[in-house]
Amino acid sequence: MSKESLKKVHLIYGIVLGLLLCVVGVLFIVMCLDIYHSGPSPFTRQSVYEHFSKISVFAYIFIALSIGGVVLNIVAPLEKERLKGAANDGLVLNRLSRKLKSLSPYGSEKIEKQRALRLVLIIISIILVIGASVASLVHVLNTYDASSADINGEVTRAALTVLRYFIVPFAYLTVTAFVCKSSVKKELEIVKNELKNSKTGDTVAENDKKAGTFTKLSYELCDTAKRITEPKKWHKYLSIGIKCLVGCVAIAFIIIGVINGGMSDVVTKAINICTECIGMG
Amino acid sequence: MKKVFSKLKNLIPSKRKLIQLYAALLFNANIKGFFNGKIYKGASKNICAPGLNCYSCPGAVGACPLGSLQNALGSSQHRAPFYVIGILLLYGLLLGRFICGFLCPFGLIQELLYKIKTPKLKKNRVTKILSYLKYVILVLLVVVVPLLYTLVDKAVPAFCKYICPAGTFEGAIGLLSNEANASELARLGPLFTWKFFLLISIAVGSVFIFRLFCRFLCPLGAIYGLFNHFSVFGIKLEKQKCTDCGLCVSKCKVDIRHVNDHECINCGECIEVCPTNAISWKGSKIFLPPNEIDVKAVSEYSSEEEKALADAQKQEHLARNAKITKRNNIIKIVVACVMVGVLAFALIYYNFIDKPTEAPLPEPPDQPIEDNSPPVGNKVGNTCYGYDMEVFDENGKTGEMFNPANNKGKITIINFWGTWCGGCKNELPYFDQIATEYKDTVTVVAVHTHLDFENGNPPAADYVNEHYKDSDMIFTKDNPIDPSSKFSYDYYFKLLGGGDAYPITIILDEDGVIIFAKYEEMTYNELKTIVDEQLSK
Repeated sequence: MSKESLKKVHLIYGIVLGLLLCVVGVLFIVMCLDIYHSGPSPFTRQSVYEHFSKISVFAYIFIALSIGGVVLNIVAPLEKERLKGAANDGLVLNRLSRKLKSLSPYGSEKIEKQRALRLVLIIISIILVIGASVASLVHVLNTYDASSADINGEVTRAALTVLRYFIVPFAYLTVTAFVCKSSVKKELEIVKNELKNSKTGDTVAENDKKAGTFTKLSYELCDTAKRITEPKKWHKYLSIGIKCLVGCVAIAFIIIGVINGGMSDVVTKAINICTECIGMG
Repeated sequence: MKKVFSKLKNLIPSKRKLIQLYAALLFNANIKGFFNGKIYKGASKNICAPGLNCYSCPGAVGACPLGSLQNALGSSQHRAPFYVIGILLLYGLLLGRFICGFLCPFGLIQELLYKIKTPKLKKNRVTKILSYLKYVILVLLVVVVPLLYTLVDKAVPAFCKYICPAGTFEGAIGLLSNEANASELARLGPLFTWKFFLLISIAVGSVFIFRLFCRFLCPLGAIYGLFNHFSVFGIKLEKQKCTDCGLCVSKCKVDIRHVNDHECINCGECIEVCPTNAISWKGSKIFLPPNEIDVKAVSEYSSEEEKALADAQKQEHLARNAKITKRNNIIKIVVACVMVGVLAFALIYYNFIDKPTEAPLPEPPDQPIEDNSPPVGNKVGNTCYGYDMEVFDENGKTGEMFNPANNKGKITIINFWGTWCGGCKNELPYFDQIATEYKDTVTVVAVHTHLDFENGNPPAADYVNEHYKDSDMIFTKDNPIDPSSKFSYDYYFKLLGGGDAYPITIILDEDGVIIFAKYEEMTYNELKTIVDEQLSK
């Protein structure tokens, strides 16, 4: 069988199986709804058995076809598709920027402008999210009536209030995402143009060597690509510091929790079935 | 024949799948629970399992971190939730989302469903946006709603209650599929119908979309994602080696922007495709592959002396390689043996040695209300057992005893509750109202479980002091079947047919005959109707 026809067989098989799966899923839900609407205290072993045995044929066919799919995969497997790099502007920009930086480590003004724009937008987003969190918290705490008779309604109202406060930051974040994306595209264009008119740092350094004008700048140019990707030492120390801090806090919290009875709360909840939690009502 | 064998080789599960299966089995080592329909009630439930594994699953031997977190936040008015937050911080710091990729049983279920051969929906812009939904769920349903309810002393684990498919599948369906829990089917109603709909939708969706629940809905993944950058174990990317070719992002099935960001589940599939070996496991130097040792090419040496030196170096390196290979193999064998040993021990211990769920059923008390001994249970029409229970009030135990057998001439409503049980606390005001309105004709007895009577969150007497100081209800304490066991069942609760779940309510007529029994929360109208009907007879 040719590759194309094999691909078609797999595709058709997959579509049939997918459709059947959807049918089985819908039938399961319909049966559950049917039991639910069949009267007071509708769920009994008998009603469940009667309803689900009606659709068992579809379920068995689906299981058989699923096993068939495994067999098909063994007997006539599809060739693995060749992996292509993700068409991601951000990644391309990273790659080209690194190349460009090896030539011009100090960056051009246009590029810096785009980066500054993105940085400002991101800082505003963070401020907006923190602001919305604080504002919603203050609002909820001021208006929440814990003594209300309709406590469920009160909680729903409070939850909706929190959501309302996040509408503006969400809209802003959406716009920021688009602006950042277009900024990356613009920067990519700038980088591409600059790269067209430049030579790599190594070439410049090589030429300088030949011409006997190898200076400190030449050394910097040929070495920049390496240096800019080397992890900074303070990054490493910061990472270790955060790990130690979080670890100490975690252990301290666990010890306090064991002492204040938090652990026994966990076990009490875990050894008794919380029917509400598992959806039994 | 060779071809067939090579094709069959593809069926052998990967190392990751084996570890996932191992973790799922280890966290659900109480296999006998699936056969007897009981959940495990031992000491290991003090500890949260790292992945999403419902603690009401009959096999579960640990607690669910997310359920525990909501429960702790829901009772944070009385006790700060240090323990659960500490556990989450520790797991996040040590493993991050490595837990999602390797240790989460519900992740494994979704991945197995994804194996079904149907057309797949790959990641795209929409899935990227949807991946932020789990953060909204984390903030709203796991944190905000339980905290809001805690202000009125109610525990509502909103995520577990309305969303969690692991609870529906492992907990509800796991328990209900056993005949021993057939009576629990009576509890099912609109909530179960909704959660069943959600479970089926997620299961069907997981066949078409890789790890649908983990990517879009799981708040536990959202928490662990925050730790991905600085977790001790997981994937690491060496930026010096990375060429930003994007093959890793392309290979990945989840919505990552770069390796090891908050969406990365640390499955490690990108390691194979990286052309520059920039991606590796943190701590993988323990298993340093021999071929990574740098041996200079012989051609780089010009003189004979240098070549001889190079040869000697090469020999030295080869010897070192052999040594490292041997060491790696020993480490691998030791690790495999330890893992198998731990699993074998867990299976033997939970199924044969530790038997907290097999506490003997209580013997009927010496003096039942009537001479005709009814079976243990709460069948309507049977005469109810009497049993002495210690009465307590807002100041603690009073030293008095109450026995329903001595309450003839009045209707008796027996409600089993606990301060740790959200549903119990929700319905208690209705009982209080009935006790006040029908003071002369009805006695309402609220029987608190012996568990956490004194050290609960809050202790029973404190809760009564805060909410029912002048109540007309009688508060009593149940006793354990086995006083030597910390996790023993309650005697009277079990005697009246209680299963594993609270609350239950039993109503007796003036002669002590059971006229009503229910395994779920009651409403005021329900109670009032039953009482009015009985009084009008």
